[in-house]
Amino acid sequence: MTTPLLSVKDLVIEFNTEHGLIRAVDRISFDIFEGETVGLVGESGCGKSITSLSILGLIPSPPGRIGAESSIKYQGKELVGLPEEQLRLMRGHDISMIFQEPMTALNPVFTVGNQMMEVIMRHKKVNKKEALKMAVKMLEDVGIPAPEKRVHNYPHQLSGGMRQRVMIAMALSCNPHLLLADEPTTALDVTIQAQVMDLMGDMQKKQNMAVILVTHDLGVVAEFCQRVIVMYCGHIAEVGTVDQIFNRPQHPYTKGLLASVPRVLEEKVEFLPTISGTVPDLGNLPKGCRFADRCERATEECNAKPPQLTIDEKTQAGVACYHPYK
Amino acid sequence: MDTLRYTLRKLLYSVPLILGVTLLSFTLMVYFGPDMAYEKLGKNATEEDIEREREKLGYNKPFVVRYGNFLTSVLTFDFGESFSTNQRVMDMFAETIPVSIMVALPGFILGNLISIIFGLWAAYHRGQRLDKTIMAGAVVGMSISFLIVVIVFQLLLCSDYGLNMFPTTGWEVGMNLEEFNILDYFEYVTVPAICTIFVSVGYNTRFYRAVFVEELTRDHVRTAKAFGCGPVRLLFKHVLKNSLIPILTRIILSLPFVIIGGSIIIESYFGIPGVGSVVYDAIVNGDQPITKAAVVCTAILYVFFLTLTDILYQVVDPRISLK
Repeated sequence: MTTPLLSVKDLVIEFNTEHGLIRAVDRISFDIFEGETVGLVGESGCGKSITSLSILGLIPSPPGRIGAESSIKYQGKELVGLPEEQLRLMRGHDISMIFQEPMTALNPVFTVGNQMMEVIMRHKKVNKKEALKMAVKMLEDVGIPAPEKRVHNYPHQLSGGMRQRVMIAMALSCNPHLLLADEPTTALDVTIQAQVMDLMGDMQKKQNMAVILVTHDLGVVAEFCQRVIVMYCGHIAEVGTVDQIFNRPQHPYTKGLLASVPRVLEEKVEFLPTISGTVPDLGNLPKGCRFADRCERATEECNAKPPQLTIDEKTQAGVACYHPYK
Repeated sequence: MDTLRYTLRKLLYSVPLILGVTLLSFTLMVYFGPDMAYEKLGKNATEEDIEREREKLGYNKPFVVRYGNFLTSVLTFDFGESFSTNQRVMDMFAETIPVSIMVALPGFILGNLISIIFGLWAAYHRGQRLDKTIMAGAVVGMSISFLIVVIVFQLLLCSDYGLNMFPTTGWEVGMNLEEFNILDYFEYVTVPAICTIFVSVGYNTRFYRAVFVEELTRDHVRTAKAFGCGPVRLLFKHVLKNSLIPILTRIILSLPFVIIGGSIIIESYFGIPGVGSVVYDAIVNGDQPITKAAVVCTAILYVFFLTLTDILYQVVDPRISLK
């Protein structure tokens, strides 16, 4: 096995809140390899977004902080505890990020060209004219018509899909090796969603970068990812290839999650299955498995001690469950 | 072109506003104001003398006629002569307003700049020790009386107890181009400016910090950070430009006061012949031509600066269009 592009080990993210210290992400580990697309899925609040933010060192601190034993290695280089100045050089250059809300994620008072050129000029030693040329080229690559005109537009003059394209163009302008896409299509129309995802796929092939797709949309994951990391309540429940996760889910949570997705082509169902119960409060976590309360296979053992995730070195798959489905 | 049309329309709409201000100020200050006939003639005047003087001042004409005369004076910018000095009011203003502006402006500009920098700095380190220190300093600065600030700085900088570098009071600065000397100006403006800055920085820093803190929570700030933006660029490009609307509003709408009001305290403590002391004396003495002129000029300046802020909004934020 080659060395991973990004290796996250024992990542702990805690927040100081009014209700005391809350551990939003609890000792999770995963690897991302060059050129692959990995889906990071889970319901709202499971810690998937802040996991991606922590890779770039963007956890607001205070109140947040990354645990002392956590390790995030990018190409073998430890990112946790790296001085801010060095992290800054990597942001947008080695690792880029796309955000959910294209409406607000771009600065409303500067033209898209201005914002793109700022990023390009920061990371590549080019002058203004060259940066503008590169920005226009990037906009053209992401399929924006009349890019030499659009580059002088303000974000509010563009549609939502266009803005997300601009965001992608900005993120890819410095040829990053890793792209963190935090719900990149959630705020968009379904038709635009597909276009944007296709665009990301194309750009990924062109630039041979790895993508971490943070989403709760399993359809998008099935279509675009090679591997999936399923998160539940700050833990990783299951890791596997798309085929494994979708066709042979082992963790009861993964199974429940998949069952609750409506399908068009299969036989009609009276009710859409749901997972009964609610996610435990992060300030008041159970001692054992965090899913035990909602799990039909839970036993004494599950309530006593949390199951550990063991990832098979060869298949890069694993499940954190005492009673996985076979 | 749009801007021009907008400006003209805005100014047209402001006519009723200015009329309202004149009507109110006329009714309150002039119609129900002090009877100057008694003031002018002194204690020993006879009934007939007073009657004659009142006739001369136009006191027995009907309300509408007197208001009409008042409006004429507004339109012609001729507010007559001061009762106490017999100087033409507009001449007095022309003489003293430049002095007030010259005294107030350096402190006003520097005070705002310093506050913006402190505000940005504190907002960036929100909740940390630096932020708390700056905010505590702001509260202390706000809590010290202006009078004490003036006296302390006069002691420290203008007296034998301190550095004795500047004159305590006075204004011996040439007010036309030939006589103006920048060194004289610095000599007389420094201490008043320092006092103004000291007093205003506390209030302004608190205001600006709140604006910047809000802006720093926005998504585009996170985006800028995610693309490697450093703190200086983040604050002075992304945060500052987005926060300019409340900042401009605050700064520009306090300009009418800087121009007409001056700072009465600064001017009286430093013996500066500015418009602030002229207006203050006029209010105390019931010198109506001057108070009338001050009220009307303030109203007009307000309308002017309001229109200016509207136009500047559009420059600052491309999402705003003037309709």
